[in-house]
Amino acid sequence: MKRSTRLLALMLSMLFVLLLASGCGGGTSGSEATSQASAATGEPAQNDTPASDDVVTITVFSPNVDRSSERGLVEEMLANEYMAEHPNVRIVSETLENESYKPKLKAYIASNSLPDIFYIWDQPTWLDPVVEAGQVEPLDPAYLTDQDFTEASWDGVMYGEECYGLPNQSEFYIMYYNKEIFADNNLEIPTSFEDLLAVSKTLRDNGIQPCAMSGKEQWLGNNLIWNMMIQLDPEGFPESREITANRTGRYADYAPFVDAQSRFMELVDAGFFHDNWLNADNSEMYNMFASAQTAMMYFAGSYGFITSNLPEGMEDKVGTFLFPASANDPGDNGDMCAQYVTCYSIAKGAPQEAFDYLYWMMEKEHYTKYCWDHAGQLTAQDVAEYVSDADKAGLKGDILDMSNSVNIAGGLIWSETLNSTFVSAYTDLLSTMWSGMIGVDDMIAQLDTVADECYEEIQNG
Amino acid sequence: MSKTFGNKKTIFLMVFPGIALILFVIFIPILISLYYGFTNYSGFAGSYSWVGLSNYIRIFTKDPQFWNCLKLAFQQAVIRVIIVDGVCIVMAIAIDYMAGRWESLFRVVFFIPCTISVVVWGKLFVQVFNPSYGLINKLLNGVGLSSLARNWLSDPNTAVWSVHFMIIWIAFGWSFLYYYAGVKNISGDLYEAAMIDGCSRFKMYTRITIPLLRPAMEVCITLDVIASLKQMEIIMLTTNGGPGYQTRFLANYIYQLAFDNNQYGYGNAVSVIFVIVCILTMVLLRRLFAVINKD
Repeated sequence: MKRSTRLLALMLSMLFVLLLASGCGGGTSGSEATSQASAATGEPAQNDTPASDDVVTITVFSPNVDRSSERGLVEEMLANEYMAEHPNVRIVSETLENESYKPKLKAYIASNSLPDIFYIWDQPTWLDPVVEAGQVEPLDPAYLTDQDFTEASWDGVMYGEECYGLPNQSEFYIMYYNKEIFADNNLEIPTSFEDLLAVSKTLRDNGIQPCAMSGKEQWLGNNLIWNMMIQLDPEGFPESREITANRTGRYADYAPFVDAQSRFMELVDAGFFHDNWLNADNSEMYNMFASAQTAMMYFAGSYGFITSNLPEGMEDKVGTFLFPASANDPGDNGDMCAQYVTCYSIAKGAPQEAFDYLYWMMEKEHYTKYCWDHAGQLTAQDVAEYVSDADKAGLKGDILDMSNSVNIAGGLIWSETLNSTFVSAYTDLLSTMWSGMIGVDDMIAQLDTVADECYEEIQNG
Repeated sequence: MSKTFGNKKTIFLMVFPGIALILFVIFIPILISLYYGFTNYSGFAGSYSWVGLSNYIRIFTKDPQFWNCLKLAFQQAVIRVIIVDGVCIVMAIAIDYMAGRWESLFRVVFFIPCTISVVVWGKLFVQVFNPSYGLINKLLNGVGLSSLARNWLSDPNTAVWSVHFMIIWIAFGWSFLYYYAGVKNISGDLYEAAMIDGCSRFKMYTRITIPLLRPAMEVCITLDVIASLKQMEIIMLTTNGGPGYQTRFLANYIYQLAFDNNQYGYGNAVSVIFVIVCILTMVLLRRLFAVINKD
């Protein structure tokens, strides 16, 4: 009896330890899950090649969850094509939705276990700490000399003299509008900021919410403020970066900064944004515009994005225009900053095959062509040679024309040039100002204080 | 048998799994948090340095957001105890007394909110509070009270109270269950004896039912206070702490510090203070209950 009880107790302890150990195991990657799921259904899975001792497995981590459209489809197609040409390489993709992707990426970074190729934002708040932690391999852009990357797209991926990422996306922000709503209300496309306010008033008077906007995470509103700042100071706007990164001055003394914030609040006070904009995420913003509950929407110029979930017949009703500058601004409507905010990087210790694949993938005839043809999205490379006559028509052509009318390209948005604490504090202050709790002057004064503290923190190590 | 279970080795082997679980899941992480709280670790693998007490000094001298979060948590705890426990006691007594054959139905109706995922509730309430097409504003407009319609989750005057309302709504079910079980466990003989002595219904409930519900009250109040302090999910799903940081609870703040701001060390320091606050609160509650029970 005594012996059997001890045996039982020992078995319970071992079971407990096994349960604990199983809880520490890694999760299933998206592609592995696809393989497992397809095994259950008996259908062939993507990225499923026979195992072999000579096969090198490359892991890819990306926030492009939808593998049937947009950039997710492009990644999937390129991976399959590469594996077909290189049977000794197996590419396993893991994907997570954007807001889940960020914490998991940080978890990988913290545990020094990054996948071989990963998608990351090239702002100093993201890429720099990873480079400083020695977890990223330097890349050689010479492999891609003839691939028509925009010169400015390299800014964010350089750390010192070395390159740590290949830029994969260009973003410029435009206004989408519903042609039918405009026509029904006898409205013309506004050509100045003052016209825009007048259009907004007419729409509100007629019971229509003017513009869908995502205010929950503040970054989109901050983009619009940045857009307006550039229109107010097209030559000198880099000063905002110097004020932030090196505290060469104060925001309160930089008039375009103050005026841009004030102009944004003018839009808020005029009811330009839809009623629930402060609590709206990108999905709500998109749905408000797609279901014609708002007449306009401010977002990245991307044919793939805008057509991702439009109701039938809606695409023909969508038009575009550039966010208008004020009639008295030094700049014009095309003065905005195309941003190159994301890149693919390679983790330290990744196999040579990961480098080979990434350089192959980022060749223009692969990534840029596929993004344009299959996702309607622009990259950091010139897409002109892949634009067909059919592409030049309709909404796709409109967005392409918009991209060509952007006057200023490249460079980081000013708020990303300090550290994450500053970004977080600034977004809190924006949210506070937008909800009316503090005024523009008060917000800017507090922002200067926060910037001083963050700058001091960085200087003191 | 008693000899077997009196054997110390056997006792150790049987108790060890539970102790190991508590040790590795609770105590050791707290100690690790305590360590990182003395550093400027960013959360990225790489070097960091010992900064001593500067994180903790910053919490008490330079961090108004921490105190706002704490105030919000205690505000929620007080409101929750008063409203949730008060209403649940009354409802438990009322249903026991008056519901008759509808008693089961009322039990189910009150408990249903607890069976629905908090994610569903969060998304539902975002729609209910929507200023354009939400249920609340539609109702107000429908009855001619459109002047009361608000942007409930974005207006700084209403966001905090909207959040309190959501949390309390979801909390009713469990508290009701405890009080209902407590009411059902009171012997009918006590009521009969009271009626024979000519006691009114009101006196029966105030002199018999409520005093005998004290154990249930202690459990519910303790659970309500704990839940208020560690509130996170509803905030993340609805306001995300906004407008500004008006509706940010401590758990959300710690998450933001560690994972958004890359201030892992400072976030750990805040979490250590949070644990201390929770422990002190529980100790005070136990002392309060002990004093009340003594009386």
